Amino acid sequence: MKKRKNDLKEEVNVQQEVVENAVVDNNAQVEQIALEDNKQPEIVEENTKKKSKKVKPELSDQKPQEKGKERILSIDRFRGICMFAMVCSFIFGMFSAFEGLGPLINHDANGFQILPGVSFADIFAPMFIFVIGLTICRSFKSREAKYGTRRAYWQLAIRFLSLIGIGILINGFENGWVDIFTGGKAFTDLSIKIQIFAVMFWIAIALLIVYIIALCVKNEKFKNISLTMLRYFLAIAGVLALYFILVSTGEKITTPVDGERFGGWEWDTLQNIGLAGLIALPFVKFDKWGRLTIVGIIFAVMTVLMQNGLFPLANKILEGGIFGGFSWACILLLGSVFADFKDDKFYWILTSLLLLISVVLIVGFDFIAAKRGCTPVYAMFCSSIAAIIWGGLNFLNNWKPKFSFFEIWGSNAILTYIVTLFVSMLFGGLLEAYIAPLNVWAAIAITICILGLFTIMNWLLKRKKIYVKI
Amino acid sequence: MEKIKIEEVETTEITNDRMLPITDEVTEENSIKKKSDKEAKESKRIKSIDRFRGFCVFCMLIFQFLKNFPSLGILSRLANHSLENGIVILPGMTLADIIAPAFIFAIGLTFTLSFNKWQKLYGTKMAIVHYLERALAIIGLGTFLDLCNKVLDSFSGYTLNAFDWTVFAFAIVALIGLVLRLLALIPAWKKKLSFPAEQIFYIALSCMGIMNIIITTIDFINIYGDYGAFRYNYWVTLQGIGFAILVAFPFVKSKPWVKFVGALAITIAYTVFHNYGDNRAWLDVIVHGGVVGGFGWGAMLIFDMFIADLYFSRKHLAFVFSAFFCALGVFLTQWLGTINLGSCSPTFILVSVGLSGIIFFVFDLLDKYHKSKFDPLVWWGKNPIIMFLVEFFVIGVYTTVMPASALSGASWWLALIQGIVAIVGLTAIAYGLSKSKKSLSL
Repeated sequence: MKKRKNDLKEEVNVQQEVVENAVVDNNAQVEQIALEDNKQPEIVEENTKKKSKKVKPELSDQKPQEKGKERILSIDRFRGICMFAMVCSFIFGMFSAFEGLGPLINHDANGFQILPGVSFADIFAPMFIFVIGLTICRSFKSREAKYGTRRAYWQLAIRFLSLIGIGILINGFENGWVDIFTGGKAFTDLSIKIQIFAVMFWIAIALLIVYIIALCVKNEKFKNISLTMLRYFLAIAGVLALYFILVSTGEKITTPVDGERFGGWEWDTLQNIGLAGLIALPFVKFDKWGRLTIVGIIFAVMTVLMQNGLFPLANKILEGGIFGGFSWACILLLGSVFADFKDDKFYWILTSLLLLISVVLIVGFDFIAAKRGCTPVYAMFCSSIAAIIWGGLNFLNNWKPKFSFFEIWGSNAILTYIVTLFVSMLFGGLLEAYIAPLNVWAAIAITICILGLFTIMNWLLKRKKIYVKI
Repeated sequence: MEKIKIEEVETTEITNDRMLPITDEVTEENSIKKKSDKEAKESKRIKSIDRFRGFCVFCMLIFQFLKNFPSLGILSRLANHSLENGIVILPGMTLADIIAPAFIFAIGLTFTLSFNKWQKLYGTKMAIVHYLERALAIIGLGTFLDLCNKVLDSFSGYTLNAFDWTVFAFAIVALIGLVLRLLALIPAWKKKLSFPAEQIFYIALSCMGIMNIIITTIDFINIYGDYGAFRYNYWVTLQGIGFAILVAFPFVKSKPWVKFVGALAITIAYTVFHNYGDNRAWLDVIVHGGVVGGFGWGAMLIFDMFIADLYFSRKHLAFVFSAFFCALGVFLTQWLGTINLGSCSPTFILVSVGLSGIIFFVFDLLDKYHKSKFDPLVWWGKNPIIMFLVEFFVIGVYTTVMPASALSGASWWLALIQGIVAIVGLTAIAYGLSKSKKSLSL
C-alpha cells in the first residue's frame, strides 16, 4: 500500500480520488465522486484510507455524511438498473427464440409504444445520461478544488472527447474490421473515415497494452506517459469524429443528395454521451437555477426548431447527432439539477412538471417525440421518468443487503458497456449463424450464463475496488 | 398546529357553510385570535380557496351568459362543450369541461374540514344527517331548476308527466320552506320559524333528490341498448355534484391513503364498466353519465379530498400529485380513450382532478401577492348557491324574453355591453351578499 501510495503522482490524482473514495465505503460524499466518474478506461486501484481522509473535509462542508451515503447507493443502483437493462436488450436481440420480447427491446415502431414515438426501450439510454448528470457537478467541483477551474474544465473536456474517441474507434472496428473479417470486404472498400478509425483502433489497442504493461512494471514515469498518450490519442480520435460529424451535418443541409461528401456519419451511444457532456460542460459551474434556465432555453429553442423542419434531419442519424446532442446535454444537466434538489421539495415539483408538460405536449398536441433525433419533449419525458425512478431509489438508501445486485452492476458501467459491445459483435456478428437459431432453452441458458459472467465480473472488480475509468 | 387547524375549519365555514347559526360569532372570535403571523397565513390560505371557488362560479355563470353572443368570437366559445365549437385544450376536452370538476375540487378542499366542524359542534350523528341531507338537497335543487325549465317548456307544447307533477308538488313544499326561512330572518320570528323552516326546505329538496336518483337510474336502464327510449331527463351539473358528494361521503373521515385507495378502487371499477362494450356511448346519453357516471364524479371528489388533505399537511405534495394525476390522465388516453365529460371517462376523472389542482395552486401561489381588499372572486365564492339561483332566474329570464337581435344577432359592442353589465351586476349582488353576511346555502 505504502509503495503504491508513493507511486501516485499528480496526473492521476483525479482517478486516485475517485478510487480512494470508493475505498472508504463509510465516507459517502467521497464515494459519490467515485461513482460520478464511472465511465472511463483506466484501471485504477485502491488507495489508502489516509488519502481519502484528505478529501473528506472539503466535501463534508457541503453535505452531511449520512446524506451523501444515501445518495451513492441510489446512484449506483440506478446506474446498475440502466446497465442491466441495456445488456439484456443486447442479449435478447441475438436470439430469434426471444422474438416475443421484441416489443420490450425494439426502439422502432415494433417496440411497445409508451407514448407516440417513444418505445419502452427508448427510455434507458436517457436514464444512463441522467445518472451521469447526477454526479457531474460534484466531480467538477472536486477537480476545481484540487486543480483550479481551468484544469477541471480541461480534464472533463478531455474525458468527454476520449469517450467520443472510444465510441468512434469501436465503430472503426465494427464497421471496418468486422466487415473485412466477415463480409468479404477489402480494406480499400471502406470509406476513408472508416479506414482512419479502423487503423486508429489498433493504435489505441497498442497504447492500451503499453499502459497495462506500465501498470505491471510499476514504473511511474512510464505509466504516466503511456496513460497520457492513450488518453490524448482517444481525445484526438474524438476530435476527428466530431469534425467528421460536423462536416457531414453541414453537408446534409447544403450538399445535394448526389453531391460529393466528405463528412462521416458514424455515430453511436458513446459518442452521444461524450457530446452531451461537452455541450453541458460550460454550464456545470452554474448553480442549479442557472442550469435549469439553460435547459429551459435549449428546450425552447430546440422545440421550435424540431417542430419546424429540423427533426427530419436530426432523425437521419442515431440519437440525433449534433442536433440531438443539445437535448441529450439537457438530460445530463437535468440530472445535475435533480441531484442538487435531492432533499428539496422542489425535486418532485420539477419531476411532476416535466412529466406533465411532456405528456401533454406529446399526447395532447402531437409534438414530435423520438429518441432518434432526441426531441426536447422526449428528453423531458425521459428525464422525468428517470427522476421518478431515482427519487424512488432514494427511499431505499437505508436498505443495504449484503449482495446488492444493481449496485454491483452499476459499479463498472463503462467496462460493462464496452464488453457488451464486443460480446454482441461476437455473438450477433461472427457467430450469428450459430447463435440466432438456437431454441429457447439454449437461449435462456446462454443468457443466464452471460448475465452471470457480467455479474461476477462486476462483483469481483467492485470487491477489489477496481474501477475502469478514463 | 391542532389549534390552527380548528381555526381553519372555522374560517372556512364562513364561506362554506352559512347555515351555521354561530358563523358570525366564530368570525369575530377568529379575527381576534388570528393575530400571529402563522395563523394569519393559515387564514390567507383559506382565502385562496374562496377565490378559487369564486372563480369557478364566475366562469360557470358568466361564460354561460356570453355563450348567447356569437359576435363575441372566442368569448362566446368559452362555455361551449362541443369539440367542434368549444376551445379544445386536450384530446376530447374543451375549456368549459374543466369548470364543473374545478367546482367539485373546491368542495373537496373544504369537505373534510367542514364536516369536522359540524361533528365538533353537533356530534357525529347530526353531522352525518346534515351532510347526507345537504348532498340530496343539492340534487333536489338541480331537480327543481330542471322542473322550472320543464314548466316553462310546457307553455310551448311540452306535456308535464307524472314524475314532473310529483316533483312539482315537492317543489311547492320546498318553496314554502324557503319563504319561511326568509320570514325567519325577522328577529321576532327567528326562534320559532328557523328550525321548522330549515327542515321543511331540506326534507322537501332531499326527497326531490332521492326521487331524481331513482328516476335517472330508470332512465339509464331504459336507454341501455336503445338510444331512442323515453327518458325523464332530470340530470345536470348540480345533480352530478350532489351525487358525487354522496359517493364520497363515506370517506370524509378517512386517512389520506384510504381516500386515495378508495378513489382508485372506484375509478378502476368504473373504468372496467365504462370501457366494456358500448357502455361509454350509453353513459354519454345522459348528462355527465347520470347516476352511473356519478360514481366517476364521486371518485373525482375523493381524489380531490385526498389532495386537500395533502394540501393542509404538505402543500408541495398536493401540487405534485395534481400534476401526476393530470399527466397520467393524458397519458392513459392512449389506451382508455379520449377525455370525455359526457360519460365521465376515466381519463376525464384523472385529468380533471389534476388540472383543477393545478389551477387551484396557481390561485394559491398568487395569494401572497394579493394585498388589496378589493377581492371580487371572494365575494363570488361566498354565495355560490344564491349566485346560481340569480343566474338561473335573472339571466335566464333575460335571455328568454330578449329578442334575438339583442342576443344571437347582437353586434359585438352590444354584446360586450351586455356582458359587462352582467358581470358588474352579478358582482354587485355578490358583494352585497358578502358585505351583509346574509346568505343562503345548503
